[in-house]
Amino acid sequence: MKLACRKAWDHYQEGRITATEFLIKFLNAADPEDVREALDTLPADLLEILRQFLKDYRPEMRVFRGSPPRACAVKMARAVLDEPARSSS
Amino acid sequence: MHFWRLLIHARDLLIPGRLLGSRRIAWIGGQGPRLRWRKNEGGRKRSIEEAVAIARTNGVEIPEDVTFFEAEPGELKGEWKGFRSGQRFETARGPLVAEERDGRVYWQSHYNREGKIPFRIHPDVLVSDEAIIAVFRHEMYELSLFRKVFLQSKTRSMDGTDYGLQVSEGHPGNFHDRAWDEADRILARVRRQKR
Repeated sequence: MKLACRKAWDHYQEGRITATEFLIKFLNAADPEDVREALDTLPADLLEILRQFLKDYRPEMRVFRGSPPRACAVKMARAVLDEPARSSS
Repeated sequence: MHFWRLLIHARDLLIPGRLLGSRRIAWIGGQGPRLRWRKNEGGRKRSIEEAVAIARTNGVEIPEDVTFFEAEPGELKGEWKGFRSGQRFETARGPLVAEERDGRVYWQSHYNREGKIPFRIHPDVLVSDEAIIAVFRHEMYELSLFRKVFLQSKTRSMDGTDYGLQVSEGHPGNFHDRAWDEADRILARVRRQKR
């Protein structure tokens, strides 16, 4: 896992940040080429929260006390999660 | 004495007693405390656990479902040095929340995996007991105002636009602004009691 992703994960585990903040930081930090690999490291409950977040996401979505996810990161994650093998799970 | 020294002397006499009493220090977006916080003797820095105890001892109510962390260096904007000159200094930060598809923010989104609402405190705040009291009171008061609104809603939610207005800068009388008034009030009381 990339260092920034690992850091976000540690902060989430520690309770410093909420699931939403973790997912945004995780998406923004993941390498575009390795989004698939990065998503493989997430536990099932967080993947479910991520699916819901990506479903809700709109470019004009407001995020308070932090930055929104990058649109390209959202697009990549959606593409990976929409792959037949994943979407059926 | 040089003329400029006289000017500085005059400024020092005037500012604490008069000017600062009548205007807010330019803080985050022009909203912030009116009282200037004093650093601890010798610059003694408190741990988060000590800070929570100091806040509680001095009358700050901290709900059981709240947890605090010292922010990592650079995680929150600005630093104490900018305090006196009115530069941006993000003393603490509550949980990030995002508006959902229906345009609303949900109370549940404020909680971490352990069922607590996390707040990060700027490390520079921990070098001043006065700052600790004011910042913790500010955050807890603002949270209490939000809690009331969310819990009055059947869906435990709030319109995203309203939420943004209450947390954003430059809206006199919003939750953020009122919470700084409360922070000043509690610190003034603490100072009176210590005299």
